[in-house]
Amino acid sequence: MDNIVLEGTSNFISAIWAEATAGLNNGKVYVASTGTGAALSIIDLNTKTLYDRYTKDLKGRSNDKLIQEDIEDISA
Amino acid sequence: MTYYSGSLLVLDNIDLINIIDYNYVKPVPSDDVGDCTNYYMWRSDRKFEWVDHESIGWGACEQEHLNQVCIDDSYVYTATSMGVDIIDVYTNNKVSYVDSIVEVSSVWASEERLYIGTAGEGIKYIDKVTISGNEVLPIDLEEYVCNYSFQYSIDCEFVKYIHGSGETLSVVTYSGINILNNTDSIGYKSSYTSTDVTKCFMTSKNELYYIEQGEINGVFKMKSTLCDWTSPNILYTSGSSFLPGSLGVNDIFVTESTSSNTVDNTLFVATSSGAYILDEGTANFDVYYT
Repeated sequence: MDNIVLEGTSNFISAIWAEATAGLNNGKVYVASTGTGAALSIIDLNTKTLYDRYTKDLKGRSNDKLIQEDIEDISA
Repeated sequence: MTYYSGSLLVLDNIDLINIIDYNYVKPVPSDDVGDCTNYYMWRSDRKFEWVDHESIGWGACEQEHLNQVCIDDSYVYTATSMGVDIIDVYTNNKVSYVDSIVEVSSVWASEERLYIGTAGEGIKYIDKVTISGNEVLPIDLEEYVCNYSFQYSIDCEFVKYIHGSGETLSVVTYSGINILNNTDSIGYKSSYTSTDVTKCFMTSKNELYYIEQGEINGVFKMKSTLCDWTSPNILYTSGSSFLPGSLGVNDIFVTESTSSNTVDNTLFVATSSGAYILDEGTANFDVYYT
């Protein structure tokens, strides 16, 4: 199934990380895109919706923004 | 070096530089600028201008380039072009570092060690019990850095990526993959030759997933580290699996026994066009886009 929920405008996904118990329909996945329009999107896989997001302009739940758009890696 | 008093500078015919403020003093080694040494700069009354030279790039200092991060309960470990930084996860401050290793390509932390992959010096490691320091006085851990030099070692000193399980390492180098176990008397080495491997992921059961980007693009899985590399157990190739054709694979992550059948794994794939999630037990998958 296609889910058009990621934040930003870049579909070039440079890094991905998931909770240890995450599966296709449960848990959370962290998805980082890179380049212009990059974002860090955190997806709730239960509802397949955006749980949290960070861009250069948008602050997420931790009240932070991305410093740059060239995201290399994620670890959480 | 040839220069004019106007707004243009020709530097040994290498670069043409526009100097906004030409009221410079003279080119001097920038020994007095923080940690930036051996860089030449034009210094004006009002601001610094940096000289572009064939061996020196623009910028106030040589910029660190971040290659990879990993995390445990205490620290974030960063692999950078200028070494390793270790950051306290609670304070977000750097507490220790290693800057004697040039071009760290990858880091991976087991329970006891931080393994450091380098571009040219193979693998090194630090015992995690030696990590200390604070943000006021970050500690240089150079004296605790050891070479990974055991009975079984990597085939190529240029490391692209490290992952592992326990003290079993999976190392992607410029020549392929080496699986290394040097524990006690049961050590072994398993190798795959390919210049197209970019990353790997090893589960706690020593299943190995790896990315190839070349003649064949995709994710491959070996159910055991002692295996027939010519015949991967599972192939998820672009164009003949859940991954469409012409898709680049950038990163993978695996969660174990998270399939709806509670036995198999879930594979998370970062691609050049969206994020793919595959339940390996049912073969169902989802794609996430903007």
